Amino acid sequence: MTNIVIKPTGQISKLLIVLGLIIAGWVGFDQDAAGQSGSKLVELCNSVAGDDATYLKDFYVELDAAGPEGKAPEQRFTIVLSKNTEYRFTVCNAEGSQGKAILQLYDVSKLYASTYNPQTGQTFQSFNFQCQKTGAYHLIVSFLDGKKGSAVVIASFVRTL
Amino acid sequence: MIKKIIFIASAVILIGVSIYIIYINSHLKPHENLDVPYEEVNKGVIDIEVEAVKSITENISSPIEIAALIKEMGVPFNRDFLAPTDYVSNYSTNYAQAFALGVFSADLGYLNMYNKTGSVIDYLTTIKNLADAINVGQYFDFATLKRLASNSSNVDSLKYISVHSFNQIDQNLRQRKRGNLSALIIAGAWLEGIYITIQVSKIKPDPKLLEKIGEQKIILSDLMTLLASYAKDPIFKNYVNEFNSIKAKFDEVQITYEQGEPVTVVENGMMTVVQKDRSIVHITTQQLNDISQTVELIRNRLIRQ
Repeated sequence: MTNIVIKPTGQISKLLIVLGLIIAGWVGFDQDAAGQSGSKLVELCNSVAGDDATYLKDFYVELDAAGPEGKAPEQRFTIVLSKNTEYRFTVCNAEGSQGKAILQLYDVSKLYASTYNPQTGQTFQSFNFQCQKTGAYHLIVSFLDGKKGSAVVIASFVRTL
Repeated sequence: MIKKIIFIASAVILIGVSIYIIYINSHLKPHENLDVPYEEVNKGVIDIEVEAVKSITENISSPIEIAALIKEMGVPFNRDFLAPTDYVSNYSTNYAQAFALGVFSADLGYLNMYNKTGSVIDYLTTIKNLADAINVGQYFDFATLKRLASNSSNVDSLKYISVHSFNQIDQNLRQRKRGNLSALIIAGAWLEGIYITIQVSKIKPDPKLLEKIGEQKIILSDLMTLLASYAKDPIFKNYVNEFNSIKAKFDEVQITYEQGEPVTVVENGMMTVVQKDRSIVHITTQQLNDISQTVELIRNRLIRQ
């Protein structure tokens, strides 16, 4: 039996190491970079939601500025909420976001809550929703004055009613 | 001269291999390590838009809400309600593994709600193994969870990381066009959640629990829309058929609605909106028994397959 031994030269060894590092770096970046920054914002926003709220779900939003027609872009998410349950919805702007996120909660057609009151200009970072009707609800996120922005919304469980 | 040729040839080969690996990583990762060939997994899958599926399945059923309700009933923790981890090594397809992952996620929610951190390790290990089997283990922060589980004062962090890990797994599967596995995780979590609720209702038939069971008709309807989209796959169809049997029992439950205008209260800077619309569940004892028997039968069958 003949044993074949490959002895890489010094240059080849260096090349292997460099390429190995490039591949490892690329693979790691590709899989985790985007997720990690989002995860940090989610973690931060979850702490803003408060100790009395249990994290359920997060929704990441990234929107462009309003076009020439002036309508602010918005992103919609659907969430199933259960009767006799109090939920908390918290919105946090990403670092460097130009716009301030507005979160609204609808069922099929009715607006239940908004973090922004256009009459008074008052804004809230969170609101609680005491659900009495099990079903699908819509979370709509847009940015004040149609600015470009990114934010995360945290849906949390507060208590059983 | 020969050394130079070897060096150049090696460099060309290595660069080629690198590009190939990067390409595989960015394009073909979802296909790896599937026990069922990827082509088989996706055979017959209706090309429904990612956003459409997403809108159906966001938080379709959270183990947290059900576990909190059960705990509030004052019913003591019962380990017998949980799915045994003994069958895990028998699961031969990614479908069975994904479904079981959902089942154990609900069990983990139940354990966490009762601060049973000591028993959590066994379930965490099982979940980690199942997540690895369907190639999403990297999203399940097993080391941190295991560390947190060793101290009961960390239960809030344990809950957060558990749920967040599952959300990441779900998101990853859907982004990588493995929504069929995501659907089975959701289905498994839902089935285990209602199974535990039924077991608790037998001990304490509180109207809130009975309503919780009855209102699953609404959630199951959304879940069936999701599952049906993958029903052309013959293996997946088995799950659809099982869930259709449960749905048939729920079809007889009546749900009515009352209208009302929401009331908004602002207290200490926190806005609270009280919904005045109401959903009312009408469920008979016979319907409840039929649902209970069918859920138990199918849950026990699916976790042993």
